[in-house]
Order: sequence, then C-alpha cells, then structure tokens
Amino acid sequence: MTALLRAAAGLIIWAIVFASLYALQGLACALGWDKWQIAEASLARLVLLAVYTSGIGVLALLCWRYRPRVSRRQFLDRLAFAGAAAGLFSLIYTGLPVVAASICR
Amino acid sequence: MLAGAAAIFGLVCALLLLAFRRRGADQPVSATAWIVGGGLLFPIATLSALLGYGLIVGEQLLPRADSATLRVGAEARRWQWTFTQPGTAGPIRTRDVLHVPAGRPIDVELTTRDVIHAFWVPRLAGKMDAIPGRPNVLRIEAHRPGVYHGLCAEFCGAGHARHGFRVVAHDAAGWARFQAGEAP
Amino acid sequence: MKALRLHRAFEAIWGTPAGWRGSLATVNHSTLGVRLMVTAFVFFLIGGVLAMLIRAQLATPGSAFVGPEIYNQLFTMHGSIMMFLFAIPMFEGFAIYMLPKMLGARDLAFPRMTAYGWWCYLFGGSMLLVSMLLGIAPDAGWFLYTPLSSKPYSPGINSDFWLLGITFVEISAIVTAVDIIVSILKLRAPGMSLDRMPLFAWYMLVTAAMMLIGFPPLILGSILLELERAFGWPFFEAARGGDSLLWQHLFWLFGHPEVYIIFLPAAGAVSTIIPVMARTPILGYGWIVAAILALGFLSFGLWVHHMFTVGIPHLALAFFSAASTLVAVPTGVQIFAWLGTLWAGRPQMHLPMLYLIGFLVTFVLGGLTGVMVAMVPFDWQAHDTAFITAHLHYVLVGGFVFPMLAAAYYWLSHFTGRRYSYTLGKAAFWLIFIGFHLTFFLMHLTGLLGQPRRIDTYPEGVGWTLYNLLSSVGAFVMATGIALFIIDVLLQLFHAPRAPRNPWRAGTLEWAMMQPPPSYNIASLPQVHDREPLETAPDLALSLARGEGYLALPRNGWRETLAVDTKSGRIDHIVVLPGNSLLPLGTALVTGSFFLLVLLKLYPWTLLPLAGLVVLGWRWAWVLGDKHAHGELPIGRGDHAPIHAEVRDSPGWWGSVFLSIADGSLFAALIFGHAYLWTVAPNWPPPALVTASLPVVIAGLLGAALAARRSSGVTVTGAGLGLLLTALLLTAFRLAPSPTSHAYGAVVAVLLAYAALHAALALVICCFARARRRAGYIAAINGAEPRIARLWTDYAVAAGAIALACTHLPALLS
Ligand code: HEM
Ligand SMILES: [Cu+2]
Ligand SMILES: [Cu+2]
Repeated sequence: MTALLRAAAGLIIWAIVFASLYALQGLACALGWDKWQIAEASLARLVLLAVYTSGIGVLALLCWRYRPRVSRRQFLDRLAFAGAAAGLFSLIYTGLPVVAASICR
Repeated sequence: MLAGAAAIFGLVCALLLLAFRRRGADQPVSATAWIVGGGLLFPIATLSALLGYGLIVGEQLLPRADSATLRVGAEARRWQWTFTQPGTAGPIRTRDVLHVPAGRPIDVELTTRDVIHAFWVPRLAGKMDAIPGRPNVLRIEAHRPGVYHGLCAEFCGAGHARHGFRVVAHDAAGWARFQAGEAP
Repeated sequence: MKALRLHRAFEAIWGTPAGWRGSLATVNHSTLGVRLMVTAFVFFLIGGVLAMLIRAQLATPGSAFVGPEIYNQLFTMHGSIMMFLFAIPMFEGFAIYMLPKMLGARDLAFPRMTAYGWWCYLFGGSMLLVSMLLGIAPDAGWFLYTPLSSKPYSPGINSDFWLLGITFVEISAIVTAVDIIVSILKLRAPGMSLDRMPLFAWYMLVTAAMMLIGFPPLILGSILLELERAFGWPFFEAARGGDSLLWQHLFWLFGHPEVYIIFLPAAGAVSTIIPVMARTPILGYGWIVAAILALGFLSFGLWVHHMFTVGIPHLALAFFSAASTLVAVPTGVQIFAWLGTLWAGRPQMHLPMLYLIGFLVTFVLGGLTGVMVAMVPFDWQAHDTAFITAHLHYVLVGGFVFPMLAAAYYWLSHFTGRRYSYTLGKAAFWLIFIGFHLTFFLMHLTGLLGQPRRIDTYPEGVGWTLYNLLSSVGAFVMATGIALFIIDVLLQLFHAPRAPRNPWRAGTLEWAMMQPPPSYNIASLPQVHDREPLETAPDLALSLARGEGYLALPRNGWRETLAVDTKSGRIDHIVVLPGNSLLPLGTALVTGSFFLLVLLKLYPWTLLPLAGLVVLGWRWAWVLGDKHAHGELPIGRGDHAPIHAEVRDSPGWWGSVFLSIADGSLFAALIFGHAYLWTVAPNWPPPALVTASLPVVIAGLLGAALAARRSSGVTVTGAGLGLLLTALLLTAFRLAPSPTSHAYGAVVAVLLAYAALHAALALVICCFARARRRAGYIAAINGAEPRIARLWTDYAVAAGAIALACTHLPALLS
C-alpha cells in the first residue's frame, strides 16, 4: 500500500498546495491583504508567491528523492518518479497565474 | 481557436486513418515518440500558448476604474428586469429596457430579488450572474447606437425562456434626451 | 471427468438456489453485475425517451407540445437519470461483473455489500421514477442550484425527491467503490503484482478512489439543502448568512470529478479492447497508469470552471482555467497511446473497433471544445448556451456511450456464450453515429448564435429554427440506431450459434473460463507470470477447470478465494466470503424506509429505521467468522495460508480504512463549508457565537484523550467516548445559537451532530468488539476486529476534537 502512496505523493502535494493557494486567495481578499503594498507587490501576492515557490521547492525535492537510479528500476519506483514529476509540473503550470493575475477582482 | 481545433482534429483523424492503411508495415513503433511527442509536448505547447492568451484577454475585460465609464443598475427578479440609469434629475428606472450611451464603457451592477439569473447581451459582452447577496459588476460596451437583445442565461424557473430584455444604445443627442427624462 | 466433478461441487457452494428466495438473497457478483447493467440500461432508455420529448419540444419555435413546468421536469430528469441512474451504475455493474474475472478471483471482497448497493440503487432510482409518474419530478435542473431549489422558490416536494433519491443512490455508489477498491488491491490471482494488473483494473482503482473523495461533498450538500428545506436552517440563504455559491462549490466539487469518474471506466474498456483489435500489446502501459493517476488528481482541481460567471476574482478563475487545460495532457497521453497501439499493430475492423473509432472521433471533438470553454473569456460567451449542451454530450456520449457499446459487442459472447452477427450492429452504429453528430454538432452553432440551454421555447426569426429542426431529426435517427442495437443484442441472446471460447484471442484472465461463466468463475486460481496470461498459456482455461491451480479442493462448504500482498502479488491469506443472504435486501429496505419517512416529513418516525440499521449492522458483522482457529490451511500446489479471520489486515480492515476515507472527505467538505461561509458569505459575522465554556471543552478533550489511549481497556475507551459525546451534546443543546437564526448556528449544529454521531457509532463498535471477544470469535481475538474498532474510535476522537475546537475556539479567542 505504501508503494501506491509513494506513487501518489507528488500529486497529493500538488492537491494540497493548489487548494491552499485557492483558499489563501479567498482569505487574502476577505482580509484586504491586496491593499497592503510592500515594495512593488501587495501583501496578498507576496504570501501567494511564497506558498507557490515553497510548494515548487518541496516537489522538486521529492522528484530528486524519487529520481531514477540503477537500484530503482522497478515499475512502482518509476511510477513514483512520474507522479512526483507530474505534481511538480502541474504546480508550476496551475500556479503560474499568481505572478500576474488580478487577485481580488 | 476554431481553426486550431479543426487542425488538431484533422491530425487525429489522419493518424487514425493511416493506422489502418499502414497495416502490415513492420517497423517497430516507439512508445516514447508517440506519447512524449504527441501526448505530452504537443498539448503542453499549444495549451500554454492558448492559456496565456486567454488570461491576458481576461485581464483586459475586467471592469477597471475609468473616468469614462458609466454605472447603471440591473435588478433581476422572476421574470422581469428593472434597470436604473443616471438622469439629470436623479436615477431613472425602466422595466425590461436598458438605456445606455453608445461608445462608452458601461458598468452594469447586477443584483437579484429572488433566485440566480444571468445578464447576457451576446453582442455586447459575456455573461455574468446575478446572485443573492453578492452584487456583481459586468463591463459592457455598445460601439454603435442601436437595439440589442439580451436574455437571462441562468435557469430561473418556469419563465426562464421569456426572461429577456432589450438594450437601447443612444447616440449623444438621444442619450441627453433620455437623461433629461424625455421618453425616447 | 475431473473438471465436471469440480464444477458440480463448486456450483453447490457458490450457486444461487432457484426460486424467488434465491433471487432475493443472491450475492453473486456476476448476477448482480448483470442486474446493475440491465437496470442502468432501462434507465438509459427512460432518459432517452425524455431526450426525445425534449427534442420534440425544441424542434419548432414557439412549440406548445409541453408547457415550461413539464419541460423543466423533462430536462432535469433527463440529466439526472443519465448521470446518476445510467452512467455510474452502468460502469459499476460492468466492473462488478468483470473485475473478479480479470483479476483471477471468484468474487468481490464484500459480496453482501454488492447486493446492498444494487438494492439501494434500485429503490432510490424507483423513487425518482415514481415522482415522474406522479408529475412532481424535480424541475430545478440536474445541478439543482439554490435558491431556485430552496423552499421559497420550489415549495413542492419535487426537489426533495431529487435530494433524497440521489443521496440514496450515492450510498450505493460509495459502498460499491469500497468494494471495488479493496477487491483490486487484495483479491487477485497469485503472482499478479501491481504492474501485471490489467489496465482496466488500474482504471477502476483510480475511479473508485475518486468516487470515495468526490461523492461525499454532494452527499453533504444534499443533506444541508434538505435540512434547509425541511427545517429552515439557512446554509444557502444570503439574508441569514448563507450563500448559494456554497451549494455550487459542493455540487461541482463532486460534479466535475464525476465526469472523469464516468469517462475513466470507459477508457479502461478502450485500453482493453484496442490492443486486442490491433493484435499487439498496449503501447506505454506505464505511461497510461501514470496518466490516469494524474487525471484522478487533476480532475479535482477544475470544479470552478463551472462557475466562471459567478463573479469570482480573476486569479481564482486563472487557477482553474489553467488546471482545466492541464487535464488535457494526461488525456492526450492516453489518446496517443491508443493511436500508437493501432499504429504498431494490425488493426482489424471488427464491430467493437468501429464503435471505438466513433468514440475517438467524437471524444476528441468534445475534448477540443472542452479546451475552448476552459478559456475564461470564451466561456463568458458560451456558458449556459446550447454550445455547452453540445460539448457535454460529445464528452459523455462520445466518451462513455460509444466505448460502452464497443464493450457490449466485445464482451457480449462472454455473457451469452454466443457468436455475434455483424450486419445489424454495423447499421446501428452508422445510425447512432450520424444521428448523434447531426443532433449535437448543430447545437454548437445554435449556441454560438446565442441560444441558451434549458429554454422550453424560442422565438422565430433569430436564425435558430432550421438548426433546431435538423437537430431533432438527428435525435430520432440516433434513437432508431439504439433500437436496432437492442434488437441485435436480443437476436444474439436467443438465436446466435455458440461461440468458441475466447473468440478474440485476448490475453486477459476473464477469458480463462466457461462462457457464460459459472457462479464460481474458476475452479482453481492461476499463478500469473505476466500481463497477458492467456497469451503465454492459451490452454489456461482447461487447466484451471481441471483444478490445476490454487484452491481447487472445495472445503467446508466455504466460498474461498485468495488475497495477495498488494504490491507483489504474493499469496497473503484465504478469504472466506459470506454466502447468499437476505440481509442486504432487508438493510436496503430499512434504509429506504428512512428516506421515505424523511420524504413524507414524518421525522419522529425516522428513529425506527435508524435503530433498525444499528441492529442490522450488528447482525451483518456478527454472522461471520468461527470460534476456533484453523491455522495455516493447504491451498494447493504445495502452499499454505491462514484464513482472513486470523490475519490483521483482512479485507474487512481495508474496507474500514477506505470507508473512513470517504467519511473523512465528507467531514472535510463540512469544514470547508464552515470556513467558506465564515470568510466570504454575505451578512456575517453572525449575531451570536457559541457561548464558549472552558469546562466543557476540557471535559470533551479529556474524554477524547482517554478514548485515544492505546493501552486502555474497552471500559475506559467507552467512558472516554461517553464524556466526549456529552461535551458535544452539551455544546449543541446548551451553548450553541439556534440553527435557524443564522447560517453560523446551522453549520455549527451539523458539525456537532456529525461528531456526536461518530462518537455514538464508535461506542457501538467498541461494544460489538467486546461482545465478540466474550463470545470467543477468533477474528475478535487474533484478527482484524480490534483494529477496526480502534480505527473508528480514533476517527470519532479526531472528529470530536475538531468539532469542539471549531465551535469553541472562535468565541474563546474573541
Ligand atoms: C440519447 C441521446 C441524447 C439526446 C438526444 C440528448 C439530448 C439532450 C438535450 C436536447 C438536452 C438539453 C436540454 C435543454 O437544454 O433544454 C440535454 C441535456 C442534458 N443531457 Fe442529454 N441527451 C442524450 C443523451 C445523454 C447522455 C447519454 C447523457 C449522460 C451520460 C446526457 C446528459 C445530459 C445532461 C447532464 C444534460 C443537462 C441537463 C440539465 O440542463 O439539467 N444526455 N440532453
Ligand atoms: Cu432569469
Ligand atoms: Cu467540469
């Protein structure tokens, strides 16, 4: 069963970070964080960017841990790496709008 | 978008057809070439481009503060629309006809008295829902004077099909007359 | 002859006695799978008739065929029947029938649950049919948006039928999902490691997991809406702090994954049939597994694309727009794997292949329009128009009906043991294919011309008239095709000559048995060495029938099959499955009477079926197991294994784990609802919070801590649970504001009720475990039962602690 969990790990992390980004967006607008300017960006965007980049970091780490190696040629090992890579790419792709899109409008 | 979709569809059909024609040709087929090329790289490239474009257009369509915009109100109920336009002597309320000046961005503030409705004038803008307790704002613009048909796009019960309205876009003189309270 | 002797002996153990009693009591997966499919097909025909009525109404402008009241019932019932009563039960029935055979097992892990699921589906579906016959069918659209479906705007009983009937059917979906998931993970032939599993099993594994996560939000939403309608708890009413958007979130949190839940099993059938038609192994097995895994997750990140026009900030729209385009990637991987397989092999133009081509063409078009509506600005135009109706039918009919028709022709001889005739099925295909595209391609155009969906009439002279007429003609062409399909299948059932075994020369295990299959599937279980066992051993069927595999000796009248280690496929233990029983029917009847009483608003009486369910549930678990240990038993081929009652990770344990995951999904959706209302609903904060009370919190947490301790005996655990329960009830009845005053009070009440219910349930389970131990059942001493009791206790403790924190903390902090 743990083999299956490992295969899903990257995607589970994607789901958690994606849900957090969406939740934080709602919370930030409810609390008015989009109006607090810090340097060029609003507090809301900084928080979102922080979550986004740390999510990417975690997933990149996971990809590294599950990287294909000679000792790990089995189907489920490769599946775990594929899951982690899919999670990483999905997060980069689905989270990219935090860089520029209007947060509360 | 339409042409792109047609092209992709044509490609898939061609591959399918060729698969049957090719019967018997015995070169091995590479999983990576098919799946990484066709299933991963190709969609990712097209989709990223499309998504970027879609988001930029989306940003541009947002109702941003702008001194030229005019604010009107649209209140939906089963099965009627009540519009509020600014007049020279205070707001002017109309039923099922919205009056706007042509050539100016208009912000329509959408509210509802009962269930969810949606304000949609296909030729002026996309649609937006009117939701209880959550006023929404939709930016529309009529480039030319004229009459535009609008309808309720969100299913709202027995009268849904007949929950339409009209938008009358006036030229400058017509708009001034309307604002002064003279029936158009 | 040895094979015949074995057949008689196994038939005596596994068979269903003749007569009505046997039919009511059967738990056999083949029988139930076919029943589910036949019932679903009947619902498909009913839904199809409704579709014809819809098209008749829309054929001409200003039609007076039916009025808006009836029309609204027509499309609501068409959508609801097709989604809930046709598509889901159809693939469930197919999986129930096929999975054990493909996996080399004799039945599913929980045969009585399979039967219970079918009965629940039948009763729940009948409820909806009755409402239709009485002319009071649901009429607020298949997604039943509030406040249109709330009491003030739908005062009749129509929406209640939907909420209760569909919830009843969802219960069946949840238990079936648990059944399927545990069967795939545990009940396989020895040697079938995960990477040797047929792709269809991978598809069903992901589908069932998605059902466990995706359906509970809808069940929760339905409960909340029914509470609002019945008692005025304002979850969705803006004036009292509710939000109609909460319903939309809960619905689509289910509704979008639902589309993939419907598509994946059909894609599983495609991935099974295509390589056989192309006479080559599937291209990129690993890629496909990774793709469906990714699809399973990504499809939960799209639900807001159904809400692009509700006025959500652009960033949120952008997230979901991105995710919606991203799912096209794993779908693309599968499509190219299929194309590559065809390319690699020598595809043969048999009838199933013809339907698969129909599938590919139609589904690709549906996917392309799907990408279009994932673009926010385009959706602002297309949303709620006939364009969407066209898109969704391209995806659903293309992605589900066509593959299922292919599957029907591919596996028909497995059900009937007869050969098929080609010509009629081909004519049916062309009628369906042409009729379908005529109907729905034109709807893209009318949609772009501004025709909204769900309108019962439209004016002349706006340019929609001709398209609509042709569209209706197409629908009737398609209906003719379906009728031809039915005739063809009936002809085959009764007239066709007997088919040879494994007519397609396929490699998967479902062909390693008699056709039609006997009640026990296989007289002995094979040892599997690769993905296509029949490829390497074409005579496997005979050798299995002669008893040359595992478990070839009938023993004690037990229904035995093997459980394996999930990953490696090593033999783990013997599962002794329960036999025929009237319990599933009885339990379903009692469950049904609960829903009926709620429907009739006889609320005090609902306590009766609830008590009945506790009694029946107790009995359900009590009748299993032995009071003496058997130790390691021989299983043939020189191997030995214990029986499931004597191991710690029996199917029952895994069933509990997965059921608790579904339960957790419901709880998570509830917490989400609470947080959602708190942060974004209009008319907050509420007039009054819960009156925080430190003593109550401390008492509750103390109880939780006592119950959570591993070392304490049943008495202490029970006392702890009792204390927790008291704290929850005290909060609910003494400290919380009235549930009718504000959505806050309502959501708090549900939170506390949920936790209290689980504390009470855990108490019952602990009592059960103790009674079983006292009675001397092995499973309660050496087996999984203490572990299961622990699981539900821990769950109740966690839920109780969270509920206490959510209700008291805000007040304590402010
Ligand atoms: C047999 C051929 C079918 C025809 C001719 C057909 C026709 C239609 C039409 C005309 C509508 C639009 C009603 C309106 O907007 O007023 C509709 C709605 C719908 N159909 Fe079908 N349909 C068919 C099969 C299916 C199947 C197989 C499914 C699902 C598996 C399905 C699911 C739906 C859903 C979910 C709706 C939306 C209902 C709503 O708006 O509440 N249909 N159908
Ligand atoms: Cu309306
Ligand atoms: Cu969707």
